[in-house]
This record gives sequence, C-alpha cells and structure tokens, in this order.
Amino acid sequence: MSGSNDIALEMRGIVKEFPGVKALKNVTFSCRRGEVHGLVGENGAGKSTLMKVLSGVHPYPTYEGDIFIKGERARFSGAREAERAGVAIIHQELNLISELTVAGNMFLGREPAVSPFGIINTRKMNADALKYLSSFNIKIDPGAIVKDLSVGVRQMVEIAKALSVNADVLALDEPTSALTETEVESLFKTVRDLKEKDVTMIYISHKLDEIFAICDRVTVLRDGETVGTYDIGELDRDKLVALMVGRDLTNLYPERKSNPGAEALRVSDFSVSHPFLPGEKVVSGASFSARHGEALGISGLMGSGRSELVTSLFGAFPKETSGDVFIDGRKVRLRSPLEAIRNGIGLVTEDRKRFGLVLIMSVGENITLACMRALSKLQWVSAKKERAVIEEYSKELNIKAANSRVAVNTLSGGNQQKVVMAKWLANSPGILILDEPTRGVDVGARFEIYQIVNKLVDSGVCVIMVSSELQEVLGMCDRVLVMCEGKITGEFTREEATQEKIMSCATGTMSRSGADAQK
Amino acid sequence: MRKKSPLARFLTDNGMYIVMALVFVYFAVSAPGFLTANNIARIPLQSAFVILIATGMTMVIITGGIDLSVGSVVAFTAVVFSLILKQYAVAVPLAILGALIAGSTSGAFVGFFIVKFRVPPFIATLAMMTIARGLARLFAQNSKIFIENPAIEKYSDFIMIKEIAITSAIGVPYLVVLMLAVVVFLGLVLMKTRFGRYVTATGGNEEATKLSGVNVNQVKFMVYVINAFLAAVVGVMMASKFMNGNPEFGVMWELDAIAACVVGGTSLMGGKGNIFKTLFGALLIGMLDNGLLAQGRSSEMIYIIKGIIILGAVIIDQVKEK
Repeated sequence: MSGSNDIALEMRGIVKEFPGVKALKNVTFSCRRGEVHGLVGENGAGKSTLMKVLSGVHPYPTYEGDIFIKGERARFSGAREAERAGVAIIHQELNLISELTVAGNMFLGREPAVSPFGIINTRKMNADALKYLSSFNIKIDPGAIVKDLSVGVRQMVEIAKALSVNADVLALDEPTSALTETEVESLFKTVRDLKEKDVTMIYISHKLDEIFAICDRVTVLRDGETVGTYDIGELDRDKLVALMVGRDLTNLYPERKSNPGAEALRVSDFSVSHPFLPGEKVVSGASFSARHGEALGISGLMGSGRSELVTSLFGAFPKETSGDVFIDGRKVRLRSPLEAIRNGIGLVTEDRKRFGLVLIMSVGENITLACMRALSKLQWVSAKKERAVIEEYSKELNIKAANSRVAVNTLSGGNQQKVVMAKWLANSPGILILDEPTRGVDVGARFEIYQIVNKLVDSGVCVIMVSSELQEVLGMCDRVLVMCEGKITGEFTREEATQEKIMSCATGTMSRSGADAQK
Repeated sequence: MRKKSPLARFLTDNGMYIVMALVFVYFAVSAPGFLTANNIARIPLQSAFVILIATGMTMVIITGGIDLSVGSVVAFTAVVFSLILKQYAVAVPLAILGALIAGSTSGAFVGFFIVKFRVPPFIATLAMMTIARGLARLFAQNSKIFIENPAIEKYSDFIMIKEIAITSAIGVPYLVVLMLAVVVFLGLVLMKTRFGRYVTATGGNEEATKLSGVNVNQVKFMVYVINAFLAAVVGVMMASKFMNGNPEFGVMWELDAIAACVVGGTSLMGGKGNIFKTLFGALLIGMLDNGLLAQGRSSEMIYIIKGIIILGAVIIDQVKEK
C-alpha cells in the first residue's frame, strides 16, 4: 500500500483474540522513518500484544489485519522472519546469554568461522562487534562477559545486537524499568544517535515524562483500540493521561452502599526487601488499615510495589519483611500462605495461570484445593462434602463449564478467574485480596466479578483490590491507596478520588528525572 | 478445539487396553504354551516386583519428579536384611523392620536433598542409585550373603515365594495378593485422600498449590519415602525368595518401573497419572516378556521389541493430548 518512503511501518485493522478475550479490537498504528514513536496506554490496553504481533511472536495468521514494512506487506511466521525484515524488539526481560561475551551474543548463530571445522574467529568477531558498537557511539568492550555488565549496559548490547542484524525498526518495551538515572541518560543519548541514523523506534513506557522527553509522536491505546496518534507538541501530561484513561464510567460498575464496619486489617511500617538487589526495598514503610465491609483499592503503576505488598501480606513473597500486621486487632505473623489462610486471608493472584490454578486439574478440584482440610477426615476426602462445596460455589459464581470435572484450562479467562475466586470463597475468608481481578477478562464476566465483590463486601468481608485500571478502582472501592516506588504516596476516599489525582500520585516522583532529561 | 470422531476417541482413550488385547491374541495364536492357565497366572507373579516399585514411582512422577534409585535400594535392603539375620539372631519380623527402615531412609535422604537444597530429582536419585548400590556391595563384600537363620523358615510360607508359594491357600500367590493390596491401597490414596490430591496438584502447578496453603515440600518428601519403602519391601521379599542378599538385585528395575508408569499414561511433566493404569502398563510389559520368551525369541530381541512397544504406547498418549 502507501509506498511513501516516509512510512517505516504501518499496521492496519489489527485484531487479536485469545480464548475468551479480544486483546486487540481494531488497532491502527504507523511510524515515520527515523522517528521515536511513543506507545502508551494502561496495563492491558494491548501494547505488548501489538508488539508481539509486529515482531512475529504472534505469527500470521493468528491475528487479523495488515502489516506493511516500508510499504511492503509483511506476514511474519515467527520472530526470525520479522528480524530479517528489520524489525527487532528489545524486551523488558533481556534475552542475552549471560556466560557469553558481548561479541559472542551479538553474533550468536552467525559467528565468523576461521576454518571449515567451525572454530570461531574470536578476533574478527570482536573487531566486527567493535565496529558496530562504535558506529552507534556505544562504549562497551566486545570481549566483556555479559553477566559482569549492569542491566543498562546489557540493554545497550541488546540494541547493538539488533542493529548488527540490520534492524531499522526497534521497539523498546519499558526499557528504563530497571535502569538508574544515569543509565537512562545514556539510553536516551543512544536513542537520539540512532534517530540521526534514521532508525525508527517505538518507545513503550509507563513513565510519561520519558515519553515527553524523547518521543516525536505518541499513539494512545485503550482497551485494545487506538485512541489516536498525536504530535508530542499538541499534548501535555494531563491531556495524555485523560486520553489513556478516559472512558465512560456509566453502568460498568454495579452500585453498592458504602457501610464499613470494624477494622479487619492494620499494617504498620511494613517493608519488603527487593528480591535480588541487596539493600533495596520493593515496599518501604507502608502503613494502612482496612475494614470489614469495605473495599480498599490499591492503585499504582507496574513495579510500584503493590503486588509485592499484597503477596507479602499473604506470606507468599520469598523475601523477609519488617513491620507489624494486625488482623481483627490481633498481632499476627504471616510467614507462609498456610498461616495467612489460617488467619482468614485469601489471595486471588495477578497471574492466574501461573499462581492461581492447576490448569490440568478439574474445575472442581481447583475450587476445593485450598479447603481440603475442611473436607477430609483423617486424610479421606468426603466426596459428598466436596461435591456440595463445588456445586454451591459453581452456582453462586455462575461458573460456566460443561461440568465440574472438565479441566479448568478449557474455560474462558473470565470463568477461570471465577474458579480462582470460588477457591477462596470456599474458605470463607475474612479478608480477600484481589490482585488485578479482571485482567484478561471480558466485559460480561467483569461485571459478574464486580457483583460478586460487592456481595462479599456487603456480607462483611474486607476486600483489598489491587488494580492498574483506574476506573475499576474508582468504580469499585470505598477508599483508594496509591503506591509509587514502594511507598504509599496517596490516600483518597471515593468522593475525593479522581483519575488525575491518582495518576499524579502514581507517577509523582518522575517529573524530576523527566525535566533533567529534556535538557 | 477440533472434534474427534467417536471411533478415534475410543481408540485413543483405550489405547493401552487395545494394544494389550492385540498382544494377547497375537501370543495366543503364535506362541505355543502361552495360552495356558499356568502361564497366564505367571505373568502377574513375574511382574509383581516391578509393579510394587512402579506404584510408588507413579506418585513420584505425578509430582513432576523421577526416582532412579529404587533398583539399588532393592539390593541394599536385601543385603541389609540378610546381614541382620546372619549376624544377629533376631526374630525375623525385627529383621524385616530394620531392613524396611534402612531402605526407607534412603528415600528420606533423597527427599531431603530435593526439598532443602533444590537438587533436581534426576540428580539426587542418580546419586542415591550409585550410593545404595555401592553400600550393598560394600556390606556384602561383593558376594552374596546367604540367610542361614533357621528362624526364617517359619515365615517362609508368608514372605517366601518359591515355587511352592505359587499356589497358596487361597489359590493366588501371596506375592500377587500383596501386590494387588498395595496397588489398591495406593490407588485409593492417590484418588481419594487429601495427600493424593496434593500430589497431583503439586505436579500440575507447584506454585499455585503452594499458594493454596499446601506444604508442597512435605508432599515431595513423602513420595520419595513411600517409593523407597516399597523398594525396601521388594528387597526383603527378594532376599526371602532366593534365601540370600545379593548386591546385584534390581539392576535397571527403576527403568522397568518408569516404563510401566509411562505406558500406563503417567505424564513425565507431572500432574497426571493413575496407579491402576500403571498396573496394566506393567502387566503389558510383563506379557510381552512372557510371550516373546514363549515364542522362543532371544533376550536381545525381547529388549528391542519391548523398547519399540514402549515408544508406541507413549506416542499414542501424545496423539491423545493433541
């Protein structure tokens, strides 16, 4: 189609469906040659899925729509083919082999050989690597072992690797999430150098200041649809946030009268160590309380520590914690999920496939997994009691399955999520923590989940709801806590809270580094 | 999802039994002496030892693990049992108890290393395989330890399964009775108890199971102890059968047991398996051994044909998964 030399990449009418969810509904996206194009949207808006379609991870024809690279129709059967067409994606989790050298990684699979026996010509490889590195002003020793390098430098290696296979469309997915400020600076410098060399870059980030600092244009995605593409000059921060979150609130969330009771949970000065950075904390000094019959929302961006906070409260985070936790006024120590369960806590985890369900077991077996003790006497499981529990909760949560004996992985995302919830409801928890309860769940099932949550709250359960979707938090919760970089940076009642207030608390500390970066 | 025709579904769902029936008919026609009551009755007897180990192995594999040590544990236990009887004039039940404890301890060690030090089950049990075999040879000074305690004669009817024991008071060899009892017991444990449910869940998704308040370490530890205990039982019975403790007992039996599990549809990825199907898997392999021998095939051929059948059974299972 549009054969214009200026368009490096065009995606039209992209639709991508997963079982039970439409992740991309109708996305149009195009980049000019040599621009830095920001791609923003809330979690679940479809950014990552779109990049996976672009880079061949979701190959043709598992999606609908057309992709044109430099005017030519592209139908990638895999990531290899996309790379050959010049499209490379730098993932959040880096894909380097840590025991190899920089040059070894760059030339992996196409090492220059010294003889027919396939001995690698290391000297030539290092020299070639150095040529690429220096042509893009990246100052790294090609002979260095990757595991000795910092995350920021590794990212540069990854970029250099992509460039060395002649990539001219680079997608950077949350590139700064693990970088220090100086590393961010040098990344930005590299990005600007590459721009000079006509490399087209797609820059995905939650940190809006970075978008303003580095991007020429921005495309906003929301709920799997393109909201629009804008020149950076016509936007300011508030406008961009409004574009990202703006959506009609009516009728998405069922009504509930707020009627909180006694305090169910109190957490004071709670901190959690970082899983691999010694001395760092993923949650620092969090203090809050939650009541029976109250829905407390915890909002924040990815990496703000909200999931770490709740998994630690459930005794499931592998790092030591400090601070006090009180349940119904009693001081408790929650060192394992079992202790948390015994204290009446339930946790619907963020990633239900990895942490919520045993996918190959049946719907019924998943529902009763956490309440086996109550259903068995001297190890023997009462089939009658088990059936009764399964029936009760399948009905109460309206789980749509052929029967309770089918494997849970045959259900849609929404019904799978209901199974996870049923598992915890079968334990009659006093405190139920929901971490991203509607991720990957379609609109109909969402509403049902919201109704279940409201019913629980009405019956006196203390519901803590972690969500990166602002509307969900605003529509469902009596009170909202906002986290940023491991700290609680804001607390709002339902009446006070607005999306803008929450967003600015969630991104609050970023304005400083953004301003520095601009010049 | 694609729909399968009812016939295709029937064939894949009952693949093992169909293969079993075909193999049976084939031998009945082609192997003289195969289709006699005596010979058919011999198949479960010949397979009993491997079946006993395979029941425990099924549980291990369902948790996502593997146990290579059980063959060596058979020999180790047999040697320890014989040694106790020979060296100390203790009552036979006491010697049995001592031997069973010694054998089970090897499983406790394996489980401990797997749970505490995150040693992969393959490695931990590989190490125990050589250690237990080494200890057996060391204790037996590289020969057999003959049981010379007359006390054992008193119990011979019960635990010995020499030729005379082939028809016992109830018409079925005691070894077969014991084997079936263990299969039924552990089969029910796996299907009907909390522990059994936890075994399956741990293999299906360890993280999710842990987050449901299950002590998965305990579950994993226990399956290795149970498996080693069963190997120890087999060791005692072997020593009783041959009236000696031979450090070369049970060589490669762990592989026979794993083959029985796999033919019975146990997934090496964990989370899926059934002890009753393992029983039939082992009987299928036993029938092959018996029938091929009755056909007058050489042992080399028997090995090759067995390997092909095992491969075939697993391929059927893979096709079914798709």
